[in-house]
Amino acid sequence: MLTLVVIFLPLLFSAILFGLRKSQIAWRIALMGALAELVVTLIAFVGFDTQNVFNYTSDLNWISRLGVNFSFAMDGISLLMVGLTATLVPIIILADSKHNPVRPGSFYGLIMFMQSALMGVFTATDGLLFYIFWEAALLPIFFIVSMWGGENRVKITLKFFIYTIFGSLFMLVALVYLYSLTPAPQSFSFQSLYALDLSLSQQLFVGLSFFLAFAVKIPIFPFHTWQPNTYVVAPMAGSMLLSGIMLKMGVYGMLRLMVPLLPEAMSQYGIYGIVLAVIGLIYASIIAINQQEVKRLIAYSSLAHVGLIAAAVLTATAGSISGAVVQMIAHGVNVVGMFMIANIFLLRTQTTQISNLGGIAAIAPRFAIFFMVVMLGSVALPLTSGFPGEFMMLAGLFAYNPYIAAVAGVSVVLGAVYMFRLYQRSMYAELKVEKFEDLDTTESVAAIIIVALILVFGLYPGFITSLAEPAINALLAYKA
Amino acid sequence: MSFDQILLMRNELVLTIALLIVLSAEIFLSQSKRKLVIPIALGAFGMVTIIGWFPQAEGSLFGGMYQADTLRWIMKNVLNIGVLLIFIQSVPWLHKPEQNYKMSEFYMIVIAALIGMGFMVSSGDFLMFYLGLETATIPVAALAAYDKGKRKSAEAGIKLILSSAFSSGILLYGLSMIYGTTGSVYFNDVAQSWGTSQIQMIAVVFFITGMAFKLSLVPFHLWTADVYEGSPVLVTSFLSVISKAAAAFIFMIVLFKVFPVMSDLWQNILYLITIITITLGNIFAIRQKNMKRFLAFSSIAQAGFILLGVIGGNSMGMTAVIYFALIYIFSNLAAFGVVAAISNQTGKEYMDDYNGLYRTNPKLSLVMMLALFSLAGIPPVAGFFGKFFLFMAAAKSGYYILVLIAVINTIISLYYYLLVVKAMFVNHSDHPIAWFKSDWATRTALIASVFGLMLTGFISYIWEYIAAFSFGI
Repeated sequence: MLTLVVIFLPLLFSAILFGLRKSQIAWRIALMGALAELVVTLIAFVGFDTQNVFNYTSDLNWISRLGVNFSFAMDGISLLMVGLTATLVPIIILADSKHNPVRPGSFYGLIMFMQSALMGVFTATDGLLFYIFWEAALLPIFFIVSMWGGENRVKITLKFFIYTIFGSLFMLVALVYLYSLTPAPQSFSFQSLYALDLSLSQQLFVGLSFFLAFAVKIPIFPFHTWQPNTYVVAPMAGSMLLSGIMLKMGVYGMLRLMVPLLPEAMSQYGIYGIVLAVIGLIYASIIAINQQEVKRLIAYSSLAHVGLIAAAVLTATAGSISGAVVQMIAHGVNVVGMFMIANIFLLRTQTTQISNLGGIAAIAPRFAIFFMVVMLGSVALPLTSGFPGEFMMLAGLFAYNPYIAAVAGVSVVLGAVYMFRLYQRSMYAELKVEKFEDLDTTESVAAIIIVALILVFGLYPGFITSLAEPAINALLAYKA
Repeated sequence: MSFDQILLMRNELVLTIALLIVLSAEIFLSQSKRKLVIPIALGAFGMVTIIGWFPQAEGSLFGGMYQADTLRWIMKNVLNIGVLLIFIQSVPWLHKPEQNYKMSEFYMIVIAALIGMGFMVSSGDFLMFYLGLETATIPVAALAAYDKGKRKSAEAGIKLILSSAFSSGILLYGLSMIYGTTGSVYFNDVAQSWGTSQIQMIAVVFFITGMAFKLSLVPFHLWTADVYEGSPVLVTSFLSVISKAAAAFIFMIVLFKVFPVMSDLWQNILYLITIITITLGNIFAIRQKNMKRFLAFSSIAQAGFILLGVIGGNSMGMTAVIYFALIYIFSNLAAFGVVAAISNQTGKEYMDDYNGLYRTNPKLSLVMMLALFSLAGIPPVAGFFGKFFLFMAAAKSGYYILVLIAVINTIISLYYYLLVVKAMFVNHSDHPIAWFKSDWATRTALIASVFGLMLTGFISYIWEYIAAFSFGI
């Protein structure tokens, strides 16, 4: 029941926002809706019983003749992802206070619709339902980017949309294939898919299809070409949704569908995926060093971070997966902070070219501290949220294959290079901007929340791992 | 023949009565009251649609020539719903002064064609099948040439009648071979004595060819785009939705019932036809600039998708085809409804004219977007479920590669559907179509279609109900 509330409450607010006549209050209603959703999610956290793997199960009949059910449940990973979404959306809306988009009702309505679909993806326990929410999450972001985006948005969003649908249709084919293998009465439920006994070649086929879908979404090199451009043209809220939450869908899909279902294929062929992910990691880090534009730099840094996350998940070992879950949360918060910073640059100076910025720390001290914390979180300094996840993932990769881990480890250094370079050139050096207002109240609220989250998760990642571990063990145990 | 037995033909009888009502109205109404034909026809057809849902007995008539069972009853009701939506959409168009003297003809011809379709759907032998098919086709040719002053419309009528005569010839040739080798035209008798001789193979090939013309499958699709472009919008929507759904249904029934012995043969043929139909339909659709031509090629591709449900020969496929037909009616009629509304109001039919439509007519753009998403098969709109079940049906019989090709084509189709969405929502235009308030009829029809395409996917009852009566080879 609670799960249904989590999914449909944002949808309700979305409907209200679409029907809104007075556009001035759209922002406030959206914020209210996001906060209400956050409260519901907090209730879910409080009431979560760690004794059971799955909580808040709800199972409604839908197309029962085909074994498709309207079934949702949350395990630890789902709960964490739901929590991440519910936390980030209010932050995103807060950070968006200065945006004043054209037709704000539709804009915020689409964000709430997106939240609803994301919640569905993270809690569905039926393959077809998962797919439906997966695609439903794509529609709002397509419109957000193509209607409120920047220059050249049409071409870029079309590519983005078709690229991602292309990937996910392969997931659909794989799901249908798995369904056709389930014993009568056939079913799409994850439980009955997990129970299948697949031969190695079947696992390979299914695994490749899933990998394609998730690799486009995450994105993993060489399927990433849609990503930097889309992040750059998207309005701030869109970039935040895409990088903070949406690409976690891909990782989540890997966890939910590949890890428990295809153990042999992953141990045999997972290495190829890992190598791709690590290539992407190094490649993106190197490109990021040379970026002249803040948003593009963030896009490539994000690409690097998720490369490591994907590699960690593909090892299919408990340690690195829980590192990946920690890092998914940490990266979500961090990247939202980074895009907020980029947007502040844009609002104050009308540019995000690094060469036009400089010396801002002297005139905007609060902003400088905020930027500093987010940057340190991003380069995985100990005691910030970036560290524990990165450490666990690298440790897991090291146990899996020391050479790959050594190469992946280089990215930490590269990450420090491009982040420090960005910070140094924009905040110190000589003052190049005429004036730069410090954070105002709304921005400060959003900034304080982000900083607090970065520090809390850095100091106490055990909160995340203790929730995630039972779920991860359960996922790994289906075939053990 | 008792009255109960005659009532098995209830749908066709009621349709005939509706036809006669419209005819009497045409004859007896004075010139000044002619406009009353529209509400009378709508009312009469509304009654037909409602009566159609009354429970229907099963049985057969004329020694098995005419079959009445629940599956066919469902199909006829689906067709009725579609025609009702078209009739509602037609109101503003028929109100125009230049249609004034012939508006009752539109209703009469459509109803006549629908009667033919009813007999075709209910046919239990090849003679009835052929009669129904012709009764359903010839009036439509008159409809295509409805705008007789327009060159393109007249051309469409001629093209339709010639190509359908040609395809009927091939079909009849095949039927004559069927009769020649088995000595019967009844589906059941033919099925029992059907062998695998060469002449019988040719008969099946001819039968498929004839039907492929009617369904506008590639390579027998050449007439489609010109006819669709030339006809008035509502006739185009009738052709692409209602005619196609009825023909696909009976095509499937005959293949399943009469030629199961030759399933290897027709499955191989359909395999190839499906691939080229979907692929070529899509590739040509990308290049179209005229919205009607665009929807014509998209409907060719959609017909290819329907074959995915036929090829497996399983009961799930049959359910999927009927279910898809219902959803397709809603999606396509919503799309054509918008095209018709804009064409009526402004006379514009090109994709570039739609630039910036969202800014001036947001509601129409939203309807169009939902319809196109449904045609493309993006969840959670109903079209996704329709396509999904077709894929499932083909996968169930092991056609994984075919499903994969279809999936890839879905992505291609997504591209051109998105082009229209892009034109409406994103593109800028210095002279967008001005805001207009559409009349009650268009609004009713569009709202009904939108409800249909939002809800049909989620109301699983519909699927389960159809599935209960479907059968495979």
